[in-house]
Amino acid sequence: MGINNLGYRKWELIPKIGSHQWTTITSFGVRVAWRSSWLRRIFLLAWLPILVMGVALFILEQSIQDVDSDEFPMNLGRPVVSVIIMQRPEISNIVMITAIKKQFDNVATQLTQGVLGSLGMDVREDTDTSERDGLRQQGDIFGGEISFDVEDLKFVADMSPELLNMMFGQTTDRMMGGIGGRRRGQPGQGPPALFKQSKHKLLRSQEVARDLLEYDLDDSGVIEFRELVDYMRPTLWAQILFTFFIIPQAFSVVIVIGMVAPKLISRDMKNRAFLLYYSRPIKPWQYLLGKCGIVWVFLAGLTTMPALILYCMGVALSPSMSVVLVTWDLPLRIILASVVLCVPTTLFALTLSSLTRESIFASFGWFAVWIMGSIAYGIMTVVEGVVRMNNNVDPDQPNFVGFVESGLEGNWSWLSPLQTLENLQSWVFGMDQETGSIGLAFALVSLVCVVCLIILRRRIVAPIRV
Amino acid sequence: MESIISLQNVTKRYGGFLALDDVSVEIPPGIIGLLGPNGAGKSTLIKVLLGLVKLTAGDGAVLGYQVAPENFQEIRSQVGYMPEDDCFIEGIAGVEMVQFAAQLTGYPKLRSLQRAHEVLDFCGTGQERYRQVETYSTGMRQKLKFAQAIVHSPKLLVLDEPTSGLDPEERTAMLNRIKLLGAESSMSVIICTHILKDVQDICEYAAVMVAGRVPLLQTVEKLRKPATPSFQVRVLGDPQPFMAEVVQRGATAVLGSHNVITVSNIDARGDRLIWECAKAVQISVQSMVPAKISMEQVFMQVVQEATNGH
Repeated sequence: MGINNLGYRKWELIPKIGSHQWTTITSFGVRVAWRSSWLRRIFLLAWLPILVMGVALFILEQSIQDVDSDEFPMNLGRPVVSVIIMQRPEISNIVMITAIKKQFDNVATQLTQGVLGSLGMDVREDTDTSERDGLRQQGDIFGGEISFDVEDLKFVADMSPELLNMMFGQTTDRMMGGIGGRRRGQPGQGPPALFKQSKHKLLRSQEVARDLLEYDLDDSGVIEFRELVDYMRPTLWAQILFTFFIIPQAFSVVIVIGMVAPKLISRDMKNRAFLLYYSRPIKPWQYLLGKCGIVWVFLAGLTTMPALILYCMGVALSPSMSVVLVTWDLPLRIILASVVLCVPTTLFALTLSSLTRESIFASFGWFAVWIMGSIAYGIMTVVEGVVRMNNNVDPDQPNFVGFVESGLEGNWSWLSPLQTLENLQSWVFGMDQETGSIGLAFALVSLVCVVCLIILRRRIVAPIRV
Repeated sequence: MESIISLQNVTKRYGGFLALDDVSVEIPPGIIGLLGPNGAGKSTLIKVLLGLVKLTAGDGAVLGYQVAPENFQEIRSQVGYMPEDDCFIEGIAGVEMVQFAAQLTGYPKLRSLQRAHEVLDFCGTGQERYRQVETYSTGMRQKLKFAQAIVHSPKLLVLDEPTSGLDPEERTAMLNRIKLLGAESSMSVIICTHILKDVQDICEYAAVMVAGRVPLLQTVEKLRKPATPSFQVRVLGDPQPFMAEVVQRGATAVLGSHNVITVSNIDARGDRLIWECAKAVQISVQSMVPAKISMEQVFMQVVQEATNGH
């Protein structure tokens, strides 16, 4: 017997038993999972995009701070920010409506000039500025000269419902025409923004136009680039954070969950570790919450934490702390977007894990669902696009329109988990960039969560009931 | 003496299968051997005690707590359970598993680690405690399961086949540990086993389960005591004349292995009869001890009676 062997001694320490016991499972699980060197490497890689997004925020804030500068990076910021702003549906719509209005004005002017000319009155040369003025914003965005006339904004802000309806048709045609036109090698007629047009988006544009009218701080009659960017700041921040969530982090999340979650329940079933848990003061819901917690810790480390750090970084880099007043809701949106991303994915991954004793099958099922879902979505969208192209009998409309429409509408987005979650996150960040129905995405995700919870409950309790 | 487990008309049914059939039993403190053929309901009884399965009917109490969902946390925090099957968490060292078991019972992380080492020392686990559990031999896994069961100082320890897969030396060591826990720590221990000798060696009580019932619960001492006074006698030389003399005097003599003669039906004459017979046939008595029935005999008899009675 070693000198360290004290024999058996009764332990008088009083245990603290309570509903917090799941945190023990979580902290222990995180500790064990973190031992994987591959997981650590992927985690490190997943943090790299934060640097890119941090630079984007820095450029944005520097551009706002010194918009007239020709020095790097301010001169780089202008066109980048202009492109981002032009991709926003509300701005893109204002630009299109303004262009359409000016086209109508121009036609009216020409008719007037024609009538006056026929009467022998002196007429100035053609002042057809509709294309130039109307599309000034989109034509010159790379020079960072995007701006709006107050008069144009007033027109957008005061549009009647009937006019709005008309504009809905006109802007939709214009967008499609622009896309088709470029395809045919003709000059574009619409902005390069790609989004699904809706009346809701036009109404939002009206609101933005009204708000922008109040941003003409120098009463110059023009909302200049600086003023526009200042107004769009929260949206631009949300756009950067949304992009951070859907592009790099969504993929990291899929990979990290695929590495961590499949082992969590399947290995416990294989090695009968359930007996270890359930012979202790642990209830099935605490076990499940503990396992979910393990995944959530990693997901929070991949999404919530870097996004919040990004936000704080942005606040620190901004020239004025007033930015906090206009972006105060972003941390809440970040947390909500993380919940939208984490809860359904975690439950689904754990359900797969609970259905098999071999974690490799659960991993395979996990990645298969994401990959096959995206492929199925792509195939169905292309097929629908091709069918629409073939059914297009309007000779004035280019064939390509039906194809693009199919992509923008995203009727099959529910097939792809990635697309469905992206739609929900777009809604959370107020981006209006969703393809497919938000209601359907929400219903689908809720259904998946409920079904997964039922299966998990049954599978977790089953081993101790036999 | 207050019982540690009290069951009244406990019935558990899995669909059409009756796992526990109206079990009513009062289990006293001490080391108790729970015996029974496969499918007798031992595992179900343990699960009922730990609150892992709901009772179909009946009522019960463990360590004074009613077997009801609101008491399961209290019950489980005071009961240690060593399952028969392998039960471990992959990818962790033995000491971590024991530490985790303590943490799950509500103890802080560092104190749990300290306690895990203490208990693993008691279980005779050396440096192997730092190896990953999936690399452990069967014997090591048994020790680990035992350590995680006692890490939180339970008042009641339930051991399911604690010596299966152990070599003779380890088996003796394990039985000694159990004995020590029962004797020095006033811990009650229930041992479910098929190895009747283990029960015979260390248990104070034995309960036999057959077809979901507990037809027998008695002290091992009483169970092994023959119905009439008997002796096991060894004599020098040929035992046949001695046996003939015993039979002639109205008692019974049966020759067993190693020339051990079991003399029974002695009545009030006691050991005097043996000495008289030995003197009559001029033979030396090498040893003479009161005879005991083996647990195997007890077990077989109870099972047979219960099966026939059913």
